[in-house]
Amino acid sequence: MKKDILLKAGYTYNFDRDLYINRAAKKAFSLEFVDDKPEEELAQRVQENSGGNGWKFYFNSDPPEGIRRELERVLG
Amino acid sequence: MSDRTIEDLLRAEYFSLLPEIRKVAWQLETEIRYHARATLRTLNHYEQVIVKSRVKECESAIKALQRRQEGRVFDPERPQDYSLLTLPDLAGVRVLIFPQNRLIEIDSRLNESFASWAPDPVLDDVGGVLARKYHGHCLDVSERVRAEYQIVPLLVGLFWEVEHSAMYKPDPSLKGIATSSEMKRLKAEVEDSLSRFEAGFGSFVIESS
Repeated sequence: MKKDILLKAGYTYNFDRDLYINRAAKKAFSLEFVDDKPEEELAQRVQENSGGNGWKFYFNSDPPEGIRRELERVLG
Repeated sequence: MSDRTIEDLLRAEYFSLLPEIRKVAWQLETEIRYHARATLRTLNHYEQVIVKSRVKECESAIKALQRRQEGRVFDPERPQDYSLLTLPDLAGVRVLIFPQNRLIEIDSRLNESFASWAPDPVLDDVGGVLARKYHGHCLDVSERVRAEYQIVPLLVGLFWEVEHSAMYKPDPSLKGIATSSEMKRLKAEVEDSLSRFEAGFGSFVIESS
């Protein structure tokens, strides 16, 4: 199951934002992305290196800068 | 950029729209009662039709708009992208009907009168129709505010009134209850059971008449 892939990789579900987040990896998956993508792609994205200091957001629609900044602010 | 948050701007929009939303809710309720009058006049003592209108509350409307954004946040740099007028159900009417044969009758009458409204049925996990839902405008009173009416089996609708406030708009301490797979399973079981009772009762009435 997709949820298991994320939980095993250390992600927790943020109920306020409907995001699976991993603060250590600084990666966040939207509920829509998780619902729409196949398990294989999700597993691949979970494993990949985010390659930077900032948060990496996996959304169906690439979030604009304002949304990124707002999410980085609320996720800490 | 304004010092006001997007939520503040949406609150201001809401209260400027509120008189119009109220008019739409009243108009829709009145039209539905009028078009269903032939059924309402001939109900047997064991049959019930309850027509209820509601105006979406301010914070509920803002949360609904927020839920439509991936990540559930507004972009503070793009306040112009957000309007409560994009919501399909600022005004709403729910028609609760028992038993099922009366539901089909009223749905059919309203379909004729609201032919341009778009169907958006509420489905269960296996694609069965739990309730019929339609979106559109009451153009006599507003070209902007979108409205919704629902045709709902009475027992399922009464269950939803309890379930909705307990699970869909839960107490903060119950956060996550709506996504709990166990609660989802129990909810589906209740809906299935109530739907089968209503359908079975409707069939019995038809066979007995």
